[in-house]
Amino acid sequence: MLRDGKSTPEFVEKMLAVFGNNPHGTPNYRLIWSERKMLWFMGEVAPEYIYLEPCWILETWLPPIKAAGPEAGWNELMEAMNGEYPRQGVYFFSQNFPQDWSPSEENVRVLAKAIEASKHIPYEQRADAIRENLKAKEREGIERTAQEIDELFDSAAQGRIQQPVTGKKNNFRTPEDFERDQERIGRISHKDYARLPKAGGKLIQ
Amino acid sequence: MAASNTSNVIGLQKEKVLSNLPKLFLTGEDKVITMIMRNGGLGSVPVSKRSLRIPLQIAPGGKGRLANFDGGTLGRGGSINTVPGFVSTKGFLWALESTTEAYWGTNSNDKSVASLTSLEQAQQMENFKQFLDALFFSPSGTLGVITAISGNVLTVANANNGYIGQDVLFYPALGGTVRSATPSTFAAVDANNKQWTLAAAPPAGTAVGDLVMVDGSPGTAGSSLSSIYDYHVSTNTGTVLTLNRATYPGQLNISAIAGGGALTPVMVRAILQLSIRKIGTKNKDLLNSLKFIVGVEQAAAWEAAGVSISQIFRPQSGQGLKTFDGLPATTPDTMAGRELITQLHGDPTRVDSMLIKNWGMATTKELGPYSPPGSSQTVFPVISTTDGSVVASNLKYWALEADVFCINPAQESAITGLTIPTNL
Repeated sequence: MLRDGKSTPEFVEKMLAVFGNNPHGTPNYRLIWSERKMLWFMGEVAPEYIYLEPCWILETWLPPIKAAGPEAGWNELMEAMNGEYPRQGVYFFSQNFPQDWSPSEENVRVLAKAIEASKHIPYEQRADAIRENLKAKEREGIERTAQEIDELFDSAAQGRIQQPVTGKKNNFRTPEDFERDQERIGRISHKDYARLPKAGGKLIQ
Repeated sequence: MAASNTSNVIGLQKEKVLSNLPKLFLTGEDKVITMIMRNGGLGSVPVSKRSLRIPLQIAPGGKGRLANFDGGTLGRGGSINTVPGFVSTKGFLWALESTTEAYWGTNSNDKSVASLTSLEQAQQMENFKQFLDALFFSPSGTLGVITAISGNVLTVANANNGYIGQDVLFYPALGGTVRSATPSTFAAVDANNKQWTLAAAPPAGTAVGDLVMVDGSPGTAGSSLSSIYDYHVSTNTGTVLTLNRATYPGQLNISAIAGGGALTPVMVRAILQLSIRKIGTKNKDLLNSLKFIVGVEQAAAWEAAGVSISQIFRPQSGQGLKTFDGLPATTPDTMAGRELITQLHGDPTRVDSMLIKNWGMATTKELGPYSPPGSSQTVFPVISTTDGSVVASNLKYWALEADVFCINPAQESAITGLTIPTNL
């Protein structure tokens, strides 16, 4: 259900029409202003996206079986909460945009295309990609910790106070930093040399 | 003179060791436990060994009625009613041990591609947090329930709750007698097949239905880190924060939908709306802290629902977009517009919503290296039991004395009993 409010730019509607209509003649994708979307839930009509700051939302139409599962499984509890089985399908949240974002044809097109392409992928491939991304995040976490330890060693080895900043932004070293470290290497023990960081930190002079 | 061949120059040839050290295992994320510790609404709350009191208001107070102001009796009133919930801290440990020679043999770039000390320092905190995160998804420290046993191989619902080298105990049930006080060790973790392989045969009597519990567990309810599933109970049974749910029906239990099939967007919309009704539409801060927690299985099911962009097309952090130029590289994973945290631990048949602002950690000893009071010593030599001398093996511990708590579970929700997509 849509109530009055900020209307979608015509050029976006035209562009989304490229992705076709559902069997009920409405578009498969639509861009709406979040405050317009109303929902029937537990006997009341209420704004659906009350939990979001007002923004543009790209919605996808889903057929009944995808949106709500088989009709045979639509039990009394689901009916009490959501009303009748949605035989017309459901428009559902797909992507929201920052509040100050204005719809651009290209951005909306790319998102809709990516969602379309995401629809027919075997579960195993999906799971593998999710695990791969998790692994990458874990690796990042370990690298970040290692970097922080390196920076601490750097400070400790050189007896300097380090800026309370960590991470990549703190690892831009100037030629002067490098030369200074080279000088110090001659003065510090082999053990300390081994501890010198690969990337190092920005020292307060 | 014959030409030199490889055997003639073998003394000259260098051995090359690649400097990268790929990890062939995945211990899981620590995102949820880290959020609670650091960024949760309540963060880490320093507490003594006396229980943390959590005041909870259970009734609004006041009595409304019709009145006759033309000389009628107005009647007596009432006021607010509060009860305290309690949280006690528990001890958790991460123990590392290596011989002195293992450190000496790797303590410079000339000797080793990476020093054991640096590797331990870089990884131990992450690994400890991942272990704690697994406990957060393992009620009473139950990492899994055995569904099949074949030799040393145990099948469970989610093998990712354990890690290679982890010690575990077996109990027939909570409150039962441990099968063996000597822990068993995971020699392999096969997440895809949902199997743990033990280094040796399981203890005598271990059977299907046994609980695989974290080492050190006494096998009793509530003896481990409080789990999200201790708080995310939809019935009015059991206790939470030491309060009896039956005494406060509807106030200490979550809203839940029994999935009973594949995850659908309508189910997600329903639990979101149920939470909103408990939170109120004006509490934007709390609403904004709502996140969905799922395992890989339900994350894949959510993708298959057809409303989101597959991770296949998502860039990994720091990389460009894999396929779709123009897709924002920072596009977050969302479920109905709320952050979707996919992680490896926990029940693969559930979707849970968490309001991070409701969560905190009561902390007696913050997460960090273990030192005896008044000392900065963090490395401890092993002492020989035969002659009392020092053994050339060194122990390091990371410690935490804490417990996780949620001050208003009724505002949270879950979908339970979802089917796991085929082949996952």
